[in-house]
Amino acid sequence: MTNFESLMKDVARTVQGDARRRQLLPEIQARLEALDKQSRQAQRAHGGWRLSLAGAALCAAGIAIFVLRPQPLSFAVDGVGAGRTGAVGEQLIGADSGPVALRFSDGSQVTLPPQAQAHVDALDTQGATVALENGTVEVSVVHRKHTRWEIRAGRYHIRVTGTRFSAGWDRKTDALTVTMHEGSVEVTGPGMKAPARVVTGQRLRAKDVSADTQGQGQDEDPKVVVEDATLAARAEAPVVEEPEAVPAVETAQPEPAKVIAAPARDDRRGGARVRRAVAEPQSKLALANAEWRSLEAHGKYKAALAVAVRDGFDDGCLRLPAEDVAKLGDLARLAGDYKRAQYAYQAVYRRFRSSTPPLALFGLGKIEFYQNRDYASAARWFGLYMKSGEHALAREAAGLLLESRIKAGDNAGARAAAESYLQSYADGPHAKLAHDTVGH
Amino acid sequence: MALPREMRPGAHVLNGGVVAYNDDAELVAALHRGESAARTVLVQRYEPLVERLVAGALGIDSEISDVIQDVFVGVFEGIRSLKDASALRSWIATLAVFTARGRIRRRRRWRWIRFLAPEDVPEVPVSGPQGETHEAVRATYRVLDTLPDDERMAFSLRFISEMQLTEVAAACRVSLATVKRRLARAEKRFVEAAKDHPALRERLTQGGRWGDMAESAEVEGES
Repeated sequence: MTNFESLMKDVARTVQGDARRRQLLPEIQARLEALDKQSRQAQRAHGGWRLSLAGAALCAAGIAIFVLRPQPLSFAVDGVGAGRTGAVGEQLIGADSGPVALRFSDGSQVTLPPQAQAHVDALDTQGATVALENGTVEVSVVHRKHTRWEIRAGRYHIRVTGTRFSAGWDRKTDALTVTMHEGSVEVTGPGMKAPARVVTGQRLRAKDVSADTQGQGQDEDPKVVVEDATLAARAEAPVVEEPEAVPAVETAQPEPAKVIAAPARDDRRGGARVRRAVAEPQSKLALANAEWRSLEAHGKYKAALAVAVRDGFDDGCLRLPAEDVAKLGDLARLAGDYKRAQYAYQAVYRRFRSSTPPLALFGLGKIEFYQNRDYASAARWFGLYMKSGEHALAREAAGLLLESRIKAGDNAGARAAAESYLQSYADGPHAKLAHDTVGH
Repeated sequence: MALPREMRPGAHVLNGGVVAYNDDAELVAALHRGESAARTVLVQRYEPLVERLVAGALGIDSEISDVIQDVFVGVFEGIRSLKDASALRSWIATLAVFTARGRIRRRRRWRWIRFLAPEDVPEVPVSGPQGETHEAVRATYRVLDTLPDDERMAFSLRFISEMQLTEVAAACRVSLATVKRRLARAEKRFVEAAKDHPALRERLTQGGRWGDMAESAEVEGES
């Protein structure tokens, strides 16, 4: 026996002997009985008060409901001159001397630069409708549960949940431009069979040509283009015209398709060229991926993640190939941003299901196990990893599966995992735990 | 405590009127039914375990009986939430660990008051052994007082209460790897701090594990 072990034995003997000398059992029993008695008395004593308390609680709830009932939004007009409360229907024009800001009571804001014209069409408890008459406005909507915000421009409607973007409307040409800074919006209007989703870094351009041709018997398709905002800013890309009709792009992914299909061609002119929306370009993340990959290769995970986030991490998770998204998940995990890592891994699993890179499944398991301590979920992910046929981390996954099931209280599952572990890794690091589990 | 009016399957009366339950499943079922005899049996069955863990964590301490009582009160208050009777033992161990750690933390928070107004805090009388061993035990807990709570708990459970690593991990609700890390750090800190306590220095300076009061100490794996 080493000195240390001998010391610890003495310590254990001494403190336990001391505790034993106190003969705690009678004390514990006495306290439990006292608690029982107290509890019974309290029940009797409080019985009569229950009705009055319930009544008081009901009254308080009624008052709270009345006081806290949802109120329609209001807004203030700030800018040149003093701030004042705005009114629905009031025409607002950005002054030459400075922008006008509409500050809404939910924290959202619409800014009208000089010459832009708009008015607030409606206000309700969940949002507002702003009608853009001319010019470009900057919109910042604070996301809340059940937010219902809309920007209307001509016959176009931009549905917003929580985001920042600018919306431009040229009333002379009936042209709409939506440039996304953050989040996503859905645009509906002429030339769109389905709502067009525009996400961070994209710009939508739409032109309502039917307004020009009304009553003139002409037949021109409206144009709807979604493009990369950065690229478009560099070289105002024209609408792509193709010699043949191209079907709407369908991806094999369960995520909603991010590519906007062209409006259906009126085929009266037979065989004519069809105009379609420009397929969404690769995300900025893919364009700039050399930078984060290089930083990652040098072990600078936090810096690499910062670059990836700057270049559209979230958006990339919805569009990049499975391996890349899994890699983004790994990057976020190594950088310690577990929420983002989980987002990436879950995105890849939702999109690719059975062809999800196994390491993403393992990563999800580790996050659930170590970060969220949701052991039942961790067990599910480790189980999926093991079923994937990947061998690189099979032993670790088998051990963690065992631990997860034990911690989740799944005794039958733990026993099965333990038996399976012992069959494959009799000398593995979890072998003792597995033996204990099987024995137990 | 009074015997239950109606004896359920699984419970039987031993000589002298003591009620016994064959296993934890029967015991937990009886507790769920509210049989008061089951509480006595549970206390008798698990009091040694709780005592070993709590005493190991707190040392010679006048509050030990309070803490052990708190553990059992927690057990009876929470027993309805325990679905898997086979987890009873580890659940009680976890409750004991968390209750003891809570007491250590609370005491640590009170230290600053002691610092500000020492005359207001009465000395707690402690009845303990005398002589060399007494001094070594005292010094051990003085050193443990300087460790972070989680490391201290891992250390005391492993080395004083002599739990297996996996049991320590389960009781602390952390992974095996985390326990190993905590133990490694705790051991290192213990070795370092022990140098300042003559009673420990003398016990540990001669040969064997830490005989040379090495800077680093490896945590031994499960044997």
